Amino acid sequence: MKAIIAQMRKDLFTLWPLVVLWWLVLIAATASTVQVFIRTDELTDTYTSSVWPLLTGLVCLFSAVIFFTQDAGLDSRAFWRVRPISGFGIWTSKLLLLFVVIVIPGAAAQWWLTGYTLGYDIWWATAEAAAWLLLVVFVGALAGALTGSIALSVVTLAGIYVAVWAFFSGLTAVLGSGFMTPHREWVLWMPVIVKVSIMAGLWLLYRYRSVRRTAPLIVIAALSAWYAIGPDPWWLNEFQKPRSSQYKRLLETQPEILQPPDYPISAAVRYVGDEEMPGGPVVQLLAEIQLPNISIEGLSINSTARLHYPDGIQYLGRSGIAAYRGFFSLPHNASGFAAESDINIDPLYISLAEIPARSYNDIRHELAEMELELSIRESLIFDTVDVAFSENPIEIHGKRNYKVQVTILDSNRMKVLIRINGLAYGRALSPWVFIYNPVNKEIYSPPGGGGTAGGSGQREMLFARPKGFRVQNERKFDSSGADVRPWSPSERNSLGYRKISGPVGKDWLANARIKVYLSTATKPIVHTVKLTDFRAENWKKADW
Amino acid sequence: MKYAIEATALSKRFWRKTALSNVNLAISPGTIFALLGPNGAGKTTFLKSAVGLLRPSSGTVSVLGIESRLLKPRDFNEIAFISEQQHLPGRMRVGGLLRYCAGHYSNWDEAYSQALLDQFQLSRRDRIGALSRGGKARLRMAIAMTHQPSLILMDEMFSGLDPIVRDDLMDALIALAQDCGCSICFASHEMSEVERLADKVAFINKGRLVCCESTERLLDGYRVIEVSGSPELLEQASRYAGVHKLAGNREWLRFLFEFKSTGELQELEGRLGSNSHVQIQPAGLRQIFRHLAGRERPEVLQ
Repeated sequence: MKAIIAQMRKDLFTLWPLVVLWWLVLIAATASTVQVFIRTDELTDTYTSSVWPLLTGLVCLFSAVIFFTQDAGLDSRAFWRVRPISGFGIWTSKLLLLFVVIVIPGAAAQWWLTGYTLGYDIWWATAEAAAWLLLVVFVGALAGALTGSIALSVVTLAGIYVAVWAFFSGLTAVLGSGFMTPHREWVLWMPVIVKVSIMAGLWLLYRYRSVRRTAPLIVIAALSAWYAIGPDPWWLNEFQKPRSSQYKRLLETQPEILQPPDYPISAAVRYVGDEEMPGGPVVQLLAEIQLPNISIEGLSINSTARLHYPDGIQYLGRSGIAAYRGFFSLPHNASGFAAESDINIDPLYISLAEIPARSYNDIRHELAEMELELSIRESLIFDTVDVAFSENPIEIHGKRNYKVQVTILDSNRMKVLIRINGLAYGRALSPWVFIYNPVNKEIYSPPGGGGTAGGSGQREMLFARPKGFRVQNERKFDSSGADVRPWSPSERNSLGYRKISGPVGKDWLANARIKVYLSTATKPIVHTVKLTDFRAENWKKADW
Repeated sequence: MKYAIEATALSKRFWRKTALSNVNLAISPGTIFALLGPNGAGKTTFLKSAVGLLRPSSGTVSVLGIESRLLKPRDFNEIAFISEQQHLPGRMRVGGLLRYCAGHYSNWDEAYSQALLDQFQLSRRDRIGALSRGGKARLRMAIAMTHQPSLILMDEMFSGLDPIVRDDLMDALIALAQDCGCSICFASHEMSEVERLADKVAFINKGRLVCCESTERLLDGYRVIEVSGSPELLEQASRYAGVHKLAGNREWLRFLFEFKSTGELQELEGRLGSNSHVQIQPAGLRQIFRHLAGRERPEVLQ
């Protein structure tokens, strides 16, 4: 014990600047994240798109490595090797110190960021962070012994690997959310691999080719590379755009990744023949999804449609839809309710594209020979919370590992706070709130979007009374609230609910209910349908 | 008898390179022992094997009766190993490092530590990274001596140091050896230190133990002889057994003469006869070292 204390004292006296640096970076990162979070209400995006994860990751990594390599590890030149100092004592003291000055403050900051959620998960998170850190320091100690490029690059590789995993995803995040997170998708691992390769290369360059003048340039290049690629790289969206050959190959080689959905998908064409519409009548290309027996709470689908021409691919666009038990929302600013008891949206139509009717008339023969490819990412809702408003000023609903707190602040303002006791690593959960008034048949959804960080965190939404209600969507509503446009196939199921935006008052809230959805994404689905399968629903050629 | 160091058929190979080959060596307690040999001869390997930093490929080496593989951290209370290559925590101050050591050594003598610092003109406030080469050497020596070990092993401690630092270190070592009777084994290229310090020397060359003698007997077994006379006589003298030519021309010859007994020296004097002028001087370790290392290089004939 005396030896361990002596070792800890020596390390602390020697490395206190590093410890202070780590704390400063941690405090700055936490404060910055909170500040931006307050402004933007986006914890996940704020954190992962900023430079702070990089800084905290690097400082933590290098702190850990320096902690263990400063005594030269297992090198025969190490000071302790020929002293009455046991390796066990050194490692034990270093682990203890590392845990106290690096891991615990990091976990505390994380805990604070995630809204004081002192659930069991934070301890799992701490344990996991410590485990990953252990791996780094073991490799770091080895590097101290070899002092060669191979070991040092291994340190870098392992460090970045651990940093990415520990700070953006983490195994316990998966455990916390109860679902497999999309981090295991290989497309999301690609930036990690690229990042690791670039950083390892730059590290080697720094080690063997840097002089005093070029060292800062190399460091800046490394930081830029990290930042440009980022945890959510700009090119990832491009990468994720489906290419027919790639998906076909994937379907052949990895069917378990790109598993087709259980429910059949076909395509439909619908003619919207309103001559008064701006731009004239249109033809809607619709994906028709049969939902014969939905046992899940609901699903949301983001689809990407492509038309394959003989001489290439034309990208048509993306659309999204969410359908939950008892409720579904439509893309393009339309929302609606199904019967409370069931989804009753069979079939479900997703509008893929709208083509001016005349154009469609010109190309319809060609389209008949084309192939439509759908890339659908479904999200399973794994829980919902239904909160009824009452005269009580605060309604709290707790269930499983989350808590929803609704606070009516005064007659004009209401606050909804969602806290999820998980880990702030990654983006495992996406909470969303809809408030609906069954009397007025109006739906209110708060501005903003996104989810929590990897199954933990909090979202706070403030509702305040505006000067007047504002109809959000571009469609015209008459005084009774009826849409002057014909209902779309999906809209027919909405039972006349319309979506409003902006704050709502106490009277409105008094009769309102709130639904909170916590969803997590599952595997992407690719479905290819022939245009020859299209049914010309509601379309009569003579109409136009 | 428990030797300070005892090597039995010690061999060490690094892949295909043999660093030590079948070395048998025993160093008695209280001996100041010098390991001599050219660069790459295996001196450092021997010392590192002795303190357990390297594992012998075959054979054994024991220090203070403990086989090197079985050395425990607590055994280093009685053993000190000093090497210039050894890391020192540059960010620490001298006082901090001594406090750190005091927390680990059971026989740490704080008063003696301060006395050594004073003797070596080191301050506890000195930052280790800012110390000169000589300062670091003195610090290593102070740490090694403070716990008054039974055995001190030193690897190239004196190389590159100025004469003042070398004298300081040697004086301290001699005092420690006299006061405590500790054994010292050191590898060095500095022949003056070896001659001054060592009771016994061993020559290692290409991993093999070439010679192990007391310094006195080794020096007694060699003479440097300078002969002047006829060319025929000089030619004849250079062919005698035990003669290793150092320099010469047609009129004179200087050579190192290796002999087992004084009779051999007298016989050589007799052979050279009265027609020549013979001057006999004691040999230095440097000349013997060059001879044993197989690096004799005759000076250019003038």
